[in-house]
Amino acid sequence: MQMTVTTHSAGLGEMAVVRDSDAVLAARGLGSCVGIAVYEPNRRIAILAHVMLPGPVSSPPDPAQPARYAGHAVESILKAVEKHGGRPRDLVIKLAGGAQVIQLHGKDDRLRVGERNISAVREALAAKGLRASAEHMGGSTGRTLCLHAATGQTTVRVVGGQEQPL
Amino acid sequence: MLQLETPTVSDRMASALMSAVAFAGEQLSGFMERPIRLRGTQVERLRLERLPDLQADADRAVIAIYLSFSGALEGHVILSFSPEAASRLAGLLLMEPEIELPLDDMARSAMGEVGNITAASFLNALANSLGMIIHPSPPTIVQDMIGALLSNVVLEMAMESTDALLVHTLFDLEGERLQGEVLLLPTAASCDILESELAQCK
Repeated sequence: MQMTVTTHSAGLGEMAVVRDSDAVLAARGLGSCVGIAVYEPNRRIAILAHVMLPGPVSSPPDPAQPARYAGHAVESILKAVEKHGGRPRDLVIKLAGGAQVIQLHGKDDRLRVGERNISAVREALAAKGLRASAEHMGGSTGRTLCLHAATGQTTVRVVGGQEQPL
Repeated sequence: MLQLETPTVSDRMASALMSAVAFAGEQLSGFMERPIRLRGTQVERLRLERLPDLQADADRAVIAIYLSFSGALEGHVILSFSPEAASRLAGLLLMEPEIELPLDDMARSAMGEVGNITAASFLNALANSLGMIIHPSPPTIVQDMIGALLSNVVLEMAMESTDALLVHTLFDLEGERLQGEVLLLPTAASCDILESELAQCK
């Protein structure tokens, strides 16, 4: 009998969290957004956050979009890890995204959201003593990032390509 | 997910956009010397932020032609096609039955021409109906995931625009139907001008 694997998509600014699950978490079509895949192997906690913007912002995270800003995303990830009994020092973190898929005419280069998202996510992780063990970021190509909750395996796919381990 | 009020598109706006799409088809047909019809099937006015959420299959591959416009109205236009539809259109222009994907430089150039004629004619028809002059930029071709493209556009435009106008369009090529989308992203000020001018049209 064929097993059906559930897929949870993390849309713009959203965060998907599962524990002790066989589900696949996916952030599809990441352009300038950055996907943060987090796995805690002892408690089998899998988290995928879809960061839209660098921030910073003074307001608290929107519960509907806890990963809208880089800083909020990292805070929300750590809260979810704590809630499920995981330890931050055991986290395996992988990042993908931050591309400049299209350069809109007349836009100031300083608006390059992809590059700013990359920096903001790295800085937000570093501020909590965390860093990614693997990255697939920058450039001009969109990506889909998947995290297999059963194993912690992370994959990246670009348009027209196959899933590659990250 | 954010719950955002859906703005409405007036009948005049929908009619003007559909007429502009049909005119673009006539110009494209003349350029390619083949019977080609473009028909807008639906016009949606959407909060910019909702655009990527509409794409449940955000990693679907598309080939898009992007250009900006300035003058009496300012903003951006994106035409998007499935790779198969783009291959078919490029093949018609290059007079080759099959164009391999991903598009090579020659096919990209052909799609640039298709997009240039279609988008510029669309914009000119819209401008002419309002007695305005607008200037389209040269086109840029993008082959990527629809979600990646739209989220990039949305985040880059967040400061200057609030709404997008999406015209779902059928390309009728000698009896064969291809699906595409015309996405008009006027600046907030230009969107207001467009509405105001259309309201005064008889």
